Amino acid sequence: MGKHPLVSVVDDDESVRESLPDFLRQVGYAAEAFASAEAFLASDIVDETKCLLLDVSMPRMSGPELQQELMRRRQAIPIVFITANGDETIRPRLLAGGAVECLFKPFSEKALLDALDAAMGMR
Amino acid sequence: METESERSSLLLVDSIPGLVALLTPGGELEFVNRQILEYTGKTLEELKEWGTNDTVHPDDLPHVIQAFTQSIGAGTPYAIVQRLRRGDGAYLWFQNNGFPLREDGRIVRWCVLLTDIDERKRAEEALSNARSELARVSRLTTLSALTASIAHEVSQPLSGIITNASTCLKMLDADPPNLEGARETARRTIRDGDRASDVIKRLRALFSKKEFTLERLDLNEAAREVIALTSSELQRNRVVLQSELAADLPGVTGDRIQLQQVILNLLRNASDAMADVHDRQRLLLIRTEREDGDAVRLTVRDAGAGLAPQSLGSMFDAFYTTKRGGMGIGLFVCRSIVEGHNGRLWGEPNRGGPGATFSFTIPQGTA
Repeated sequence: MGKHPLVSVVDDDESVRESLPDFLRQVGYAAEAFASAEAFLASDIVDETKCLLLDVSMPRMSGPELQQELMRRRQAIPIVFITANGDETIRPRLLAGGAVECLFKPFSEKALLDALDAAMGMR
Repeated sequence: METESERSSLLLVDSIPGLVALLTPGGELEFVNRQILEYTGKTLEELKEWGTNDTVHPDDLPHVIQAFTQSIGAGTPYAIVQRLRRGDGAYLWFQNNGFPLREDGRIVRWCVLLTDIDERKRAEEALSNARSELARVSRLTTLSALTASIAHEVSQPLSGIITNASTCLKMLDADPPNLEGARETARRTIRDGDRASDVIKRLRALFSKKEFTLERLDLNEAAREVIALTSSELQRNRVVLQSELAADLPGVTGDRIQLQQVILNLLRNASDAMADVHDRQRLLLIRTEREDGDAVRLTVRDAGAGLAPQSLGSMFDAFYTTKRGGMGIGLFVCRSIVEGHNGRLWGEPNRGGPGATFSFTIPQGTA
């Protein structure tokens, strides 16, 4: 594990892509942001990613679909889902599907740090 | 009432199964049949004072007196609906028909026929209550769907605000402080705050009006607000929205909120209809245009499953639904709203392609 574990952010919302990486760098992670699941899969940092902060609903490939695709490729990256959808019933389903956590926007700094700690603990 | 023929007439009136009264040309009660005496439990003398006692329901009395007086004065028949007190104190609804009996063109008597319509009247009331209950439920379901989309719209910028402000604090706390980074994150915080307040502004525009307010409105504008509120929901459902709003669209008079409910419902139906479409683009087209004969038309076309021929006749009925978990009141309420604007709402399968098209027209000057 490198000095600054890499966290990848995949979210179609631009303000998330702007704000989260800066925050992550401030708390000691390296960070990259992608506007779509496809862009992340096409990148060369899938293997290095230690944790994925993944939006649930995106226009083309959704968050859970990306999770399926990673499982198919046998790439077990810990996933923390983030969603602006207020439907709390999706959380148990996502956790049962292997996600570390599911955070509902807007989430607190502490909730995010706890989820990242849990994800890193899995490695 | 002396002649043989009059006596037999009175016998007849007494025997028919209805409430009948005869009055003098001036409108004074002269004779009531047995059925009236039995129903009211009053004497003829008491009934003559109907204008001042409790025979007629107090809420109906002014209306009855006015119609009656006017009719007697003009010599023309009247037909009113009123409540009449039964012997046990209950007021039942009656159809009250009064007409003059003439001899050689001269009014010799008035005849009043009272028909019990209580059951029908109460059924009508129950129906009307059911209708307003339906409208209420529909408002609530629209509201809960709307609440979800508002929550989504506001959560996005709020999330950015919290993350940016956290980052800003950390940059200021660093040694040495990262002032340029802190400035940038503070700027983003403000921009996200502006985004959230834009959402609130749109909502205000949508809900600031009272219920059932008629106003001049631009259907394009109304449609744009609904589109703005539903765009993230449509995006989530992977629907591609294409809008063709006519630049020269004349204004209409109507209730903005109600018409927006109709547009919202049509957009949502179109989106739902395409939920199972995977082999083609989920294209949703919303179009406005000027219609022949001084009307405007709004059309919503989807590329979904289309309409089954057997559903064409019943899809606007209350409780008709093809959706799992649907209540089947959306289109029913939509149609009643559009008809309330003297307009027309209809649906048809797309020609030469999959999906369905729903359209409504509203006359330009409607009120």
